[in-house]
Amino acid sequence: MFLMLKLMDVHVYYGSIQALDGVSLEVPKGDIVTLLGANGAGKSTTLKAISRLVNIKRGTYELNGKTVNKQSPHSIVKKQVIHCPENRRVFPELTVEENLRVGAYIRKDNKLKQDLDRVLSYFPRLGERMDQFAGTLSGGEQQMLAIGRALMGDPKILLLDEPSLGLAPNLVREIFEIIKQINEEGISILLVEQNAHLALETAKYAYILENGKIELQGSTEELKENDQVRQLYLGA
Amino acid sequence: MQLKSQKLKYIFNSVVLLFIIVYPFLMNMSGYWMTLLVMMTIYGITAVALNIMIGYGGQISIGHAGFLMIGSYSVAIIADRFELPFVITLLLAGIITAFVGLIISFSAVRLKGHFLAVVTLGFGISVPVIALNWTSLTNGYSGMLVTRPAILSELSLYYFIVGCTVLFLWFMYNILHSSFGRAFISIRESEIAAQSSGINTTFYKTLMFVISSFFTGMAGGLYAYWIGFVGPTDFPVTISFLLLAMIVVGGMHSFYGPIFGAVLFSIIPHFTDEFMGITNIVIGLILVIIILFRPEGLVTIVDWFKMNKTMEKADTISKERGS
Repeated sequence: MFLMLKLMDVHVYYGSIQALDGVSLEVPKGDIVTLLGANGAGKSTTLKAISRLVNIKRGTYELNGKTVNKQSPHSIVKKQVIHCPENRRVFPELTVEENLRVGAYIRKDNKLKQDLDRVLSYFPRLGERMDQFAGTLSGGEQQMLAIGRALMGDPKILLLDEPSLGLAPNLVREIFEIIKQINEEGISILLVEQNAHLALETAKYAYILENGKIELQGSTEELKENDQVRQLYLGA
Repeated sequence: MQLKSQKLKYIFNSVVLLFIIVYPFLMNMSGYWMTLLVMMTIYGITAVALNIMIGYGGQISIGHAGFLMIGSYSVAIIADRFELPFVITLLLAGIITAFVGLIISFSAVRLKGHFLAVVTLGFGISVPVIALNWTSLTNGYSGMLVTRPAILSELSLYYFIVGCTVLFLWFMYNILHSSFGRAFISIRESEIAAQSSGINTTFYKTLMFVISSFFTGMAGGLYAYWIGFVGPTDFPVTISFLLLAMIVVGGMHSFYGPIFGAVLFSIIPHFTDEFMGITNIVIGLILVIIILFRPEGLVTIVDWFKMNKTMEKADTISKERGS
């Protein structure tokens, strides 16, 4: 039961400013796909277009072959495509447990307890802090909570926006290990990341965005060897 | 510790309720003093209802005096034209106000912050003007008389209002402590994260408006029954700001805060009204002092006691360890 996500020639505008200029990409079943690019290239906008937080002006967005261009954000969540937004954005004045419950808001099934246990097995530290306000957590813990909250929505495709932002290097490694684990349990992941090294190591396939366009794409093996990529993103 | 504070809360609530029950007898059935307490309950309901939007949902409204007025006029008009049981009339007043709230929310859910404030402010200003000029419905400047339900004496009406207040507060408490409440708070904290968690923000913002205006409308209806008269100058736009001040002074991140604010600001005019123009100065001063020194509102004074206790405890522990 995997979902297939496909963007074809997607254009997004903020007012009159064009943010995405014909982006086409695919997240195949069960893979980690990464989206690289400089600041302002349109990585976060692509994720927002997928979770429908911004309007798609032109182009098609398909889930399992069905066009969902015009669907509302919560119905995309219902289709189990879940966005873990940039800068964590946990709810600071809700407790850790309440944050996780909000993550499962739209669900009607009774697997909640099971999923809560699963999230806590990934992030045992959250378990120790269930009754604490999320605003009092450290940056790393907040990131764990944000990912945990997204997992509570029982995603088939998880959209991660810069999970390494502002975290200590060992924490970043820890979180990326968990991202791999999550993927091994059958959740496809679309990863936006500044740390190109790490992203290329983690993912199977990569897209490189520049000025709202896909400039390059390929398996990460290939891209690691590509001169342009090495110069621009790997600093070698 | 948790249990003890629960118990304390229970005792506090019982004492307050008992006081309210014997209050008319303490005050010798004085209409003035009973009105003072009834106004507290009406503002209490309204402030809590407004706080659903502002404190919990993060949606500002400066138009709640308008909803109060619609509620009070609904009762007056329905009681005047139809022979309905007064409880039904009151409920209808709530429903009519909620319907108006729904209409306002259609434009309001698309707006944020200052823009939303301006829309609601405009609503709050226009309601009294409509009440003044729609003479065929509202009797214009002369206002409308509301006959007290025949089966109720003044005392039993007082108890009815107190009972309604407890009931409404109980309802709102339960709404805010259900999953609805969590959705409201998540919209306040981060709309983007709420949306990406699958919360239909438009729906919940509309719901906030409807719930809030429903209870406000019923509070307005209670007012109409108690005072026995409604007029176009009853709830000017300044009342909307007063309600806002009640929430801020009481504490908007708490369910009980606005009640504190409502009680305080209903008592103040009693002491200051003999001096012209002093009331607003006092209210303004209190607002400034609270914002400077207790920005989370009066209700945090309760936490303050708790904190002192935990600090005492920490002190004794460190003393025992001989440090």
